Amino acid sequence: MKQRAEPLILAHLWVAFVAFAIASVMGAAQMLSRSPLTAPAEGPEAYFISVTAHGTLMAYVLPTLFVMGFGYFVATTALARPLPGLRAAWLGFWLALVGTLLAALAVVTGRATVLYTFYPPLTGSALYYLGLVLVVVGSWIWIVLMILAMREWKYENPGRPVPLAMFATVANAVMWLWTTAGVAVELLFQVIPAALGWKDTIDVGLSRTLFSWTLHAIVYFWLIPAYIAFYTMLPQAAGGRLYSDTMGRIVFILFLLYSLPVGMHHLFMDPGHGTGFKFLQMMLTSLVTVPTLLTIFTIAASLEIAGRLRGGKGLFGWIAALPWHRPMVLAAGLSFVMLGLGGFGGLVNMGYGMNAMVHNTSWVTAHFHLIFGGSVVIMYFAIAYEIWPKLTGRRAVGTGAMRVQLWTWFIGVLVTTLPWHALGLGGQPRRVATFDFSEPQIAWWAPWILVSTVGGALMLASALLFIWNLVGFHRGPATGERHMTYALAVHPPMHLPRALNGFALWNWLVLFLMVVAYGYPIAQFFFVDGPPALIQRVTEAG
Amino acid sequence: MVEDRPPVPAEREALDRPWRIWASVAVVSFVLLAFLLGFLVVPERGKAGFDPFTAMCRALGIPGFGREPPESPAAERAAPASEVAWTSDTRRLLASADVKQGAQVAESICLPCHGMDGVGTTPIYPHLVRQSAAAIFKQMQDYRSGKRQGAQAAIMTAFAQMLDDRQIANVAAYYASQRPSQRVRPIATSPAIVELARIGDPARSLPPCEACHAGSGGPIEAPVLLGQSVSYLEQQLQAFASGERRNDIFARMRTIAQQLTPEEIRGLSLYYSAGSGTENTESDATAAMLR
Amino acid sequence: MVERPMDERAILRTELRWVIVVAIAVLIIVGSIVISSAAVVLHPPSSVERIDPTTLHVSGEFVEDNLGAVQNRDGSVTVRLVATQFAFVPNCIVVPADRPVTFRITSPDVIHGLLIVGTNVNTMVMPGYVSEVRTTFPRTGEHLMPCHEFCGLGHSEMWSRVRVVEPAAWQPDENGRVSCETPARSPVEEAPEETPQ
Repeated sequence: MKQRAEPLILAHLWVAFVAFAIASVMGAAQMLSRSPLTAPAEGPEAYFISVTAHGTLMAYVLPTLFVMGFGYFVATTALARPLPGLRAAWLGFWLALVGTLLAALAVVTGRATVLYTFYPPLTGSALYYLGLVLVVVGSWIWIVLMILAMREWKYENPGRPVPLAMFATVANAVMWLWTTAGVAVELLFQVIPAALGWKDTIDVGLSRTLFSWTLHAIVYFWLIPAYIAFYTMLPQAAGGRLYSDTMGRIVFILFLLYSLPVGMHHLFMDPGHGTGFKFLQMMLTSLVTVPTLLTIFTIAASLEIAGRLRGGKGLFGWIAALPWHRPMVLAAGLSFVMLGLGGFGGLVNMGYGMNAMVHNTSWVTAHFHLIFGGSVVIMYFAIAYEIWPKLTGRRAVGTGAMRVQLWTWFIGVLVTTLPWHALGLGGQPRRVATFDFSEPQIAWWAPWILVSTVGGALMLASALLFIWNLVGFHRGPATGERHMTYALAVHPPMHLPRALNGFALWNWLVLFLMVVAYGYPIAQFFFVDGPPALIQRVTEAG
Repeated sequence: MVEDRPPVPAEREALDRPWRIWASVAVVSFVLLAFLLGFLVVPERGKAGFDPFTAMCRALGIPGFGREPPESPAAERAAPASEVAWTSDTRRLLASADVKQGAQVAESICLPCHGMDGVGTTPIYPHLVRQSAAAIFKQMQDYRSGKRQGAQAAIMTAFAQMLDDRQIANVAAYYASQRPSQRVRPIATSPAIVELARIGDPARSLPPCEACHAGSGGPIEAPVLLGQSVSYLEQQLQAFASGERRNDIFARMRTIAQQLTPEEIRGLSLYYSAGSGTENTESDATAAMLR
Repeated sequence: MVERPMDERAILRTELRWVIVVAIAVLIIVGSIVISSAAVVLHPPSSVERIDPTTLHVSGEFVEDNLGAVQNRDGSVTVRLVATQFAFVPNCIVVPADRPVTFRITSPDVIHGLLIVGTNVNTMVMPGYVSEVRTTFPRTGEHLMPCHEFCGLGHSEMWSRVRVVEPAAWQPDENGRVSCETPARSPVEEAPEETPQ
């Protein structure tokens, strides 16, 4: 009795993308609210409910469900064996779905208008936080299943290298376990007891530190599927081979190591920590540029192989020879452009002193919309276009609508975020519902905001077209072709050291880094006597 | 190509060891370098004027190594707007309040003006129903200490001085436990007033009233406005605007009320009163009266 | 398909060259930050100082009458601010140009933040902590100072102003204080303070 994993994977991905579509509508509405134009629902309550929902859906629901579904896909296709614990996987799915609905209920009724980053001592309904905990618990089941799948495969294939796609997926799963520890402790020991009325104070220094533990690594959790596609799907789609399998493994290991002990760069402007640990984590942050810089080279080299195989000549002729009509290749190209722009902006954010220019301004919003909303989500689209035929056994009628969708998204993201960068440098704060454009000092913001609003409308149009395209697969002609092939390396590895085929060594090093980077900053709250802040309840809709 | 075979343990170890050693060396030495820089080389000194030991303690984030803040002679002479502070003692007092004993205080002192159900007997006496214990406690304490002035404050100060802290906490808990008999809805007299209440006015830095007075976050002593008597609301906003009443911590209400026009004060009072405290509770009639 | 440049050793060598390029790039990034921190003493605000948020208004340096810009006995300038829901207290401050100014800010309620538009003054404000920021304003003029962290439904209206005046125009009164001229406020001030002009 062999059960198929496709319905499980499709369930995850559909929930992720429906959440994405809903949140896209909210995003566009928020931009109207901030602009001089009239929004459908004006006022801070509508705006901040919308921001809370948008952040929760885009940052927690979309990536978590997508990564889970994609992980199950990789585990069944790259390992070519059935998923261990299909029932447990369904349990994880239902936990995540129920959690999402509970959290959404609390948010839309105005009982959790605290934004998705929580901001205690503001405290919303416990339902919101418990819902998010359920989503995380669902993803913990996924982590266990990913590790089990790899372990069973290794047992059946002693001494052989784990396929790169699966190695990367497990790297993400292991990293996600480390990542969620911070927010889980914050929610379970600080925020939820307060929301339930068991406590009436909270130390915001500790809660912010714990949240920062999660806050940066979560971004890499979102990002890794895009990198998996770069390494294992893009060279295949371009008609070439992966330049180096070993480099791929090293890149994913570096993500595991250096996305975690760096979260305090979100606290540069906090009065809760001294300069030393901020500086240490800034130094470590500089190392997360390394995997991306390595990837740019490896992927460019892989694409060059494909371009030359297709007859491209000369220094740059291979670029023109690439099959840009294929959604995966086009999306990767656009993704790299956005990654380059966003990476440059990121250097300013991580600058230990430069951060003061842009902290909590629209610059930051622009940065993560460009990196996550742009270069990562566009790869989610490409992955969906790539794997939907394998999941449904049907093919799309054509790829034209997909290319239009990808281009619209790309243009929309740039038109939205480039003005935000300028506005951020001009001092426009984040998380503000309306501006007083009659104030002469900020009157010049209005036209830029209008431009970005147009970009938001483009992104919304693209998001809806994406859903339309996915539906198109389900109605397309049946092919029965479900076999998924991943890109092979030029020299596929035969034997690998344990360090490149598992995570034991790296987990010890992560532990070392986390103790060094977060040990004292967290421990200080237990021996330095600090007066806590009063819980402030957000219990009712205004 | 030769068919691969699993390496024997000795080969395995030879393959693994360099990775283990060099990865650890790389990670640890980078961290050591960062520590050296972050705690010894870079800490604020030189222009910032800290000696090396202080600079290092600051880098670690140990409290107490900042500059001594300059003396503030004015701080010692200052008279606080209110002496109520939500310290752990105050919170414990409120949490342990006895509603039954509060009812006895209400019956012997508050009943003639505020009723047992917390509904004011004449429009000028505020309704206590719908208010939190913290809101009532804060005002009673301020009456007792003389911090709350204006309107009927003299009467209330006399009553409040008959009570001790525990009795005030009890009576606050009693009225907070009263449930209103009917749901009320605000009266929209004009779009501008609704906008002021729900959206605020960024041009005057006026936050929406809802932000503090509707249970969706805000200082814990902020009273609920909806259903309060119209004359009371108007009188208090005027008192804040004139500075007669100044027991609002950090002048939160004085700053706002000073910016409101008399029309806005009337409109907002009517909006939140939901008709309560007017001669005629028919909302259309009150709206007409306002015009 | 495997040609000479695709030889396993050739690939390794090319990759090592690229790794060196990456290492240099990271060194440049880190180096510039290290140098700016060590030489220019450019640091984010990081003075760890705790304070009880529930008693700010009752005693200590953040009582209502002690807020705003003041010239200390030693001639230095301190600006004390309370960020509260939903205003900075005071909501307008005036400081001299070309003189070091120390901002000391805290919150009695929730997390706030502030930035002075057009400058590098930027800090989080957390209940339970005093944020200290030191700066010098090189030019005269008026800056906006919005709250930049979500603090509740009135967050969008939490804006204040910083007025930078010529050092000569910044004349403290007998208590060492200088405040903005805000006509709407003056009737309530017990002792109307002199405003610099």
